Amino acid sequence: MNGNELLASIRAVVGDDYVIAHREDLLVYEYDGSVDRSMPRAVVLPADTDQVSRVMALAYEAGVTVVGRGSGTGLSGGAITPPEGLQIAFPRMDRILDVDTVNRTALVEPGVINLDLDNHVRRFGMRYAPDPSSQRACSLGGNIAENAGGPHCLAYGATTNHVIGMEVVLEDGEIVHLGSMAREAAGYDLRGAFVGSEGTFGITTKILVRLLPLPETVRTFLGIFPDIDSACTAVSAVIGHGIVPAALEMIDALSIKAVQNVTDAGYPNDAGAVLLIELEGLNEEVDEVSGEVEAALWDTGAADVRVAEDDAERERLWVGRKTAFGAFGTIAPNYYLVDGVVPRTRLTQMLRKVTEVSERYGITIANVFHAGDGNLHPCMLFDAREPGVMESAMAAAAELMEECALLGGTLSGEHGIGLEKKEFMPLVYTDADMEAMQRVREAFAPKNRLNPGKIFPDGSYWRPSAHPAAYTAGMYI
Amino acid sequence: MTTTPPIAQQLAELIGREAVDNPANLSDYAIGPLVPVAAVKPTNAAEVAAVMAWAHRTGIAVYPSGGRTLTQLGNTPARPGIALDLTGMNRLVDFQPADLTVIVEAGATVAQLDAALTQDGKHVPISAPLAERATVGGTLATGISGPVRSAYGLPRDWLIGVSVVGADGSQTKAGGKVVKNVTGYDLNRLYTGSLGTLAVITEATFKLAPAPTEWAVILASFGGADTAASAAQNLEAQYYAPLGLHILTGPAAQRLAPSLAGDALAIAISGGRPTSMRRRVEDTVGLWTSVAETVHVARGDEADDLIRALTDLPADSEAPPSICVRINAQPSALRDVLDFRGTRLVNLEPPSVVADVGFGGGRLLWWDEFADAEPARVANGLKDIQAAALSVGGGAIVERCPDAVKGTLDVWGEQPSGMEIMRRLKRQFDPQNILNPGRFVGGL
Repeated sequence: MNGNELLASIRAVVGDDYVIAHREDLLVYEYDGSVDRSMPRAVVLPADTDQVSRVMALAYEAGVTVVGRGSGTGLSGGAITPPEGLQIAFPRMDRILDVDTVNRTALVEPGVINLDLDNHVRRFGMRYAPDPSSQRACSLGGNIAENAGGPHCLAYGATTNHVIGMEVVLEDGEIVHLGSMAREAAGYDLRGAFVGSEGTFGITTKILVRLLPLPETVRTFLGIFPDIDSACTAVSAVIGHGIVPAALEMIDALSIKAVQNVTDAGYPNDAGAVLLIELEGLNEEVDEVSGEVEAALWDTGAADVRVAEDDAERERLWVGRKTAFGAFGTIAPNYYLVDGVVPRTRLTQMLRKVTEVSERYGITIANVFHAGDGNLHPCMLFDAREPGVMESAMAAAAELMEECALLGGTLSGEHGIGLEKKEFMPLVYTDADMEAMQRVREAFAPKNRLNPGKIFPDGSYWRPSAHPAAYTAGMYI
Repeated sequence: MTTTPPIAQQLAELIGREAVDNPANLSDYAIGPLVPVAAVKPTNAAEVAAVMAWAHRTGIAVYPSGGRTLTQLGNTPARPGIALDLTGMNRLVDFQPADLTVIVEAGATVAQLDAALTQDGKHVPISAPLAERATVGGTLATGISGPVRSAYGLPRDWLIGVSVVGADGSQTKAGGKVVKNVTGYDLNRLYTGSLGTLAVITEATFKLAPAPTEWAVILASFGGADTAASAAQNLEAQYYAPLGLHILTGPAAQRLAPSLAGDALAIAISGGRPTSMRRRVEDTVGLWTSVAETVHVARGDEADDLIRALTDLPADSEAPPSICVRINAQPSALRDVLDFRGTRLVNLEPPSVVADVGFGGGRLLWWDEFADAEPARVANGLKDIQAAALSVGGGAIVERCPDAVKGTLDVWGEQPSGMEIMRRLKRQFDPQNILNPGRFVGGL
C-alpha cells in the first residue's frame, strides 16, 4: 500500500474531514512545546476507540510509524513526528464519560483537558490532583504519555499515582485494558509501565482516573526572601521539620519581574526570590502546621511572610506561578528549559551552578520550579535569531544536566526524555539498564512502530530539522 | 557424613561454601510440595549475579526467598530448583532524612527499616504481615500492602529506584534516588508485584513521608454488617476520614476484639499530629456512637497491637488461616464483598470477611481444617468466588490454600486483559523461564 492508498483507507474509516494532509494545514502539527520540528505525512482525528484501532491496524499493515499527539504542549519533543509518519490527535475524543462520587473516579477520553476535568469534578467536591503548568491546554492522554507532574505532585504524586485503569490501542490495532476498575489487579503492573512511556507502548483511548476529595482547608503562603540561597535554606527547613506541604514552589527575581510584567500576582518586585507554599487538610492540622511553616520561613531569613486572605488572592498567587513561562516572552522571544531533578538538599548547590553557567555562557536564566521535590526548571531566555545563541543554550543545558546527574539527580522530573534529552541518557543509565527498558518496549510494541527514535540514544535514526533560522520570533512562547 | 550434592557443590565453588545452606535445612525453603535441591544465601549483589549467571547457563530454576512469610502466594512451582535466600543482604545503605529518601538492601526486614526511619520521625508506609520476618524485597515482589493502603497507596507508590539482577545475571537499575523522575521507562512499577518472575530485587530506594506522631484505632461493634457498612461509608465521606477503615465479621472480628459484642466490627485507623488527632477521634466517636453497639478508642501500645494484628491476619504465624482469598474491587462494591460472608465452601463454616472500605475489596479468611473435603470441590468453590468477584467488577486471588487444591486452580483468577503482553514480558526478561517458574498469573 503506498502513502496515498493508506490515506484513502484511513479517510474511509474516520471521514474525509478528519484526515489532514495539506502542507499548510499541517503547519500547526509539525511542532510541540519543544525546540524540534518535523512535518508529519498526515494527521488523523479519530472519533472513538474503534476508529483509533482501525487506523492503527492500517498503518501497521502499511509499515507506517504512528505518533500520538495530545495538545502539543510537551517540552521534550514527544509529539514530533517523522516526515513519513502519521500523527493521531484527539480533539474529537474529549468527553468526560463518567464521574463516580462513591468510588471517586472519572472515566475520560484522552483529549479531555486537564483543567477542564479538575473544574468539572470540583462541582462534586473532588479534584484531579496532577496540575502541570500547562493544565489549561494539556490533555489527559498526553499527561499519561509523559507521566506529567505539577506543583501539587509534591504531596499527591505524579500522574501515575492517579491512573487506575486504561483502555489502550497497541501498534497493531489491538485494544487492551490495563489496570482495572479496582485499584489493584492480578498480573504485572502494565498500567504502571505504560504511564510515562512517551507514546512508545500504545495510544490511550480511555482513562479511569482517581479523584481526591477536596480538603477542608487550603492555606497559601508567600514567603518573600532577599535572595535565592536563603529561599533554598527555607525549603530544607520546612521539609526538615517533617512537613510535606501540598505544594512548595520557588520563583526567582527574574521570574517575578516577568510575571509582574503581565499580571499583578502580588509578588513584590524587589524580592530576590519567593516561595509559594500551600497547606491542606483538616482545619486543626493546617492551623498547627501553619505556625511551624511561618516560623521556619522567618528563621531562614524571610523578609516577609504573607498568607492569602481569600480564594481570590490565592488564585492570583497561583496564576502568577502558572503563567511564568508565558510571561518570559516579555524578556526574550524564545525560551528553553531544563527539567532536571536533584536531591532536595542539593538545591542550593545546583542553583549556584545555574548562576555560574548563566554567566559563563552569557545567557539569561530564570528559575521557577518545584522546590519541594528538587525538580528544577532553569529557563534560558534568548532570541533565537541571534547567530550561535541556540547552540550556546544547548551547550549550557547539557552542562546543567550533567551537574544534576553528578549531584545524584536525574534528567527529567516531569517533562520526559523524548528527542530532547535522549542522547543524555548515559549520564544516568548504563547500556544494560537501557536494554532492560527496551525489553519492556519489545513486549508492548515488538515492531517499534510507535513514536520510534525517542527516549534512547541512537545517533543514527531520523533527526528532526531544528534550525534556528526557521524560527519566527515569539513562536515558541 | 553425607556427600555434597553436585548442585550445592557448584554453588559453593561460585560464591563460597559458607553461602550454601545445610541440606538439612532445605525443607525450610519449601514452596508447597516443592523442596529446593539447594539453598544459597549470598551477601551482596555480585554473588546474586554469579548465581543467576550460573542458573542461566545450566537452566536450573531459581526461587528467590525473603522472610518466607508469604511463600503460600502463587501457583505450584513448575519444576525443581534452588532457593535464593536474600536475607543475607540486609543493610541499610543510605538514609537521608532531609531528602526524605532511603536505600535499603532487599533482605532487610520491614520492621528493621521502620525502626531505623522512626528514629528520625519518618516512615515509608509499606507494611506486610509478620513485619519482623517479612523482607523489603519480598514486600515489593508480592506487592503486598497493609491496612492503611487506602490513604498511603501500595508499595509501588513509594519505590523510586531499584537494583535488580536479571535472569541472565546482568545487574541493572531503574529509577533513581530523587522523588520525581520520568527518565526512561518506569520499571519500578513493573518489578513491584511481579513475584520475582522478571528479576531478583537486590536493593530498593524509597521516598519517605513524615510519620504520624500519634496513632489511634477506633473499634466499633455493630448489630449487623449492613449497619456497619453504612456507618463506615458515612465516616469515609467526612473530612476527618481515617487512614484506613475496615469491617470485620466472624472469627476475624473475634480475634481483633474478643470482648466486643455484635456481628460486625468496624476499625478506623487514624494517625497525625496531636491537635488534629483530637478532632479525628472525637468526631469519629461522635459519628458512630448513636449507630454502634459499642465504641472503643485504643491509643499507644494498644493501637499499635491492633494495627499489627489486623496486618498479620492473612498470615498469622500462630494460627494462620487455612484459606485466604483477596478480593480486588471498587469501594462501591462494599456490600458485595461483605455478602461473601454467606459463602459455603464445601462443608466448611462461612468465612470471615475483612472489607477495606476506603480502598475497596478485602479478604475472605477460613481457619477451619478440611482434611475430609475433596480438594477438587474446594477448588471449584474457590473458582465460584473468583467468578463472583469478577461479576462485581473486580477479581479474586487465592493467597493461601492447601497444596492439593492448587493443582486444579489458577490462584490468580481469570487471565487479565494484556495477558499476551505479560507473556512477552516474561519471555523478554526470562527467556529460559528460570525465575520462579509456574507461580505467577497464567502459569508465568
